Amino acid sequence: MSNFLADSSYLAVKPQSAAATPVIPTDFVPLIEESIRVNANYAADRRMKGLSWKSDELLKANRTIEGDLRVYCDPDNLGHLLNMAFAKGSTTGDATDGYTHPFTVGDGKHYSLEVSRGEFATRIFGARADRLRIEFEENKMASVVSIKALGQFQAASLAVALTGAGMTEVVLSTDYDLRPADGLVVGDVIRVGGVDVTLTSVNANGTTVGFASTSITASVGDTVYLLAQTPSFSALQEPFYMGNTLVGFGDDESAATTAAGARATAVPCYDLSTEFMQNLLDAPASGATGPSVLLNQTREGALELRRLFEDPEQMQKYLENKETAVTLIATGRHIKSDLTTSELLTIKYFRTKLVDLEEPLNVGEYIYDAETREVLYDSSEAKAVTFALVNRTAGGSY
Amino acid sequence: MPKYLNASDRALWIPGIGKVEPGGQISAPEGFRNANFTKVVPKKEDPTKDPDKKAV
Repeated sequence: MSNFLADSSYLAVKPQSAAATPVIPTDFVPLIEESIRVNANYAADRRMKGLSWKSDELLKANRTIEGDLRVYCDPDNLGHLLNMAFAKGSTTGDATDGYTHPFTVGDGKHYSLEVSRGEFATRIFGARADRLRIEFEENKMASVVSIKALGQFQAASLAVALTGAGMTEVVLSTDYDLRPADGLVVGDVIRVGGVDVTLTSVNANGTTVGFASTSITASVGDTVYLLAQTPSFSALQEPFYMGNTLVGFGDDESAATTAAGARATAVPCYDLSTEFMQNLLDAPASGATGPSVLLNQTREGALELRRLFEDPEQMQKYLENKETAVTLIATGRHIKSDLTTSELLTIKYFRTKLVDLEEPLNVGEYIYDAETREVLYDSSEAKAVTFALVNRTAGGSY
Repeated sequence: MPKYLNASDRALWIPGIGKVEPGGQISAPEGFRNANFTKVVPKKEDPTKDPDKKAV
């Protein structure tokens, strides 16, 4: 048996054209942490069977597939994170000047994700961002994306033995699900009976996958699993940095954006994080042991920051419940050779209010405003938050 | 070792192999799997077009 170091693992992503139709992910994102798992929600069978022990069996409840991905926000992979959480508008620009991708509040795309563990892969499909948190970790912009998904394939077992020469299909056991092959795609490579085969068909019955005639000998119950890809990175980009991020405050979005346009008018922040919750409902329904659909519920957002205390203005705004527009502009590397265009992330909060403000006194420390802002819907602008991302990735990737 | 072609529209960097331009080829061990690459199948030689070989 082999053991595997996590450093060789990868996260691969690709948007799907339909919620329940997986694809083979082709964009590889350097991972920091991953914790996506299948919650089978087993519970002890507590029927009265004359036992003097709690139970002799576990039974399945509704299944959920969820967990977190932690990555640095580089200009290209951030596009995928935003695309999972928000509605993408039309991309403009070109490879010379950079592509501008606008995102607004709306349904994010469903994604196929693949995470490798050693030589094995976990395929998650129908994945969307339930929560997107952006923060700075020692100057580097990082993101924690909480994922919910419709299904997965990692490993199953043989339902029908394979008996040697001329094998062309594998029938998977339905112990996990009545459709255990969901998540597999033509072109995937699975290992069965110690032999690697490339799938040429995934049967609509959800249990059978086909491949070119191969000699395989394997017994009922033998493990069948998806093999990992060799990762390929389009670029190992730097993340956005706190040091290249400006935050502007204003009475409205226009004033906040103007303030964020220059270091002289921006507000120095010593810590900054923001998060957006989609509050997805992974709704169970008849015909699906896992979630049948991921439904958006009411969305919300928050912005937390710390800045040096200078005067009681923020306390006055907190006490009087005054609104403030905030614009965050993070600048990355230059794109155009004459240095006139750059990678850029712009987040516009059209209306925020202080839901919490602390100005704690600690001996030997400067006094800070520690602000927690609720991101509110601006009825006059008819929007709460917008994003614009400028990078080197064409719109077709999202 | 088999050859693989970068079928994507981007230059790709592969750990342990290096950077491959779009349309570029690499030699990789059997078992290389990446959805951005396609395996290059060597063309069979046509003996009638080889001046050193005469069709029988």
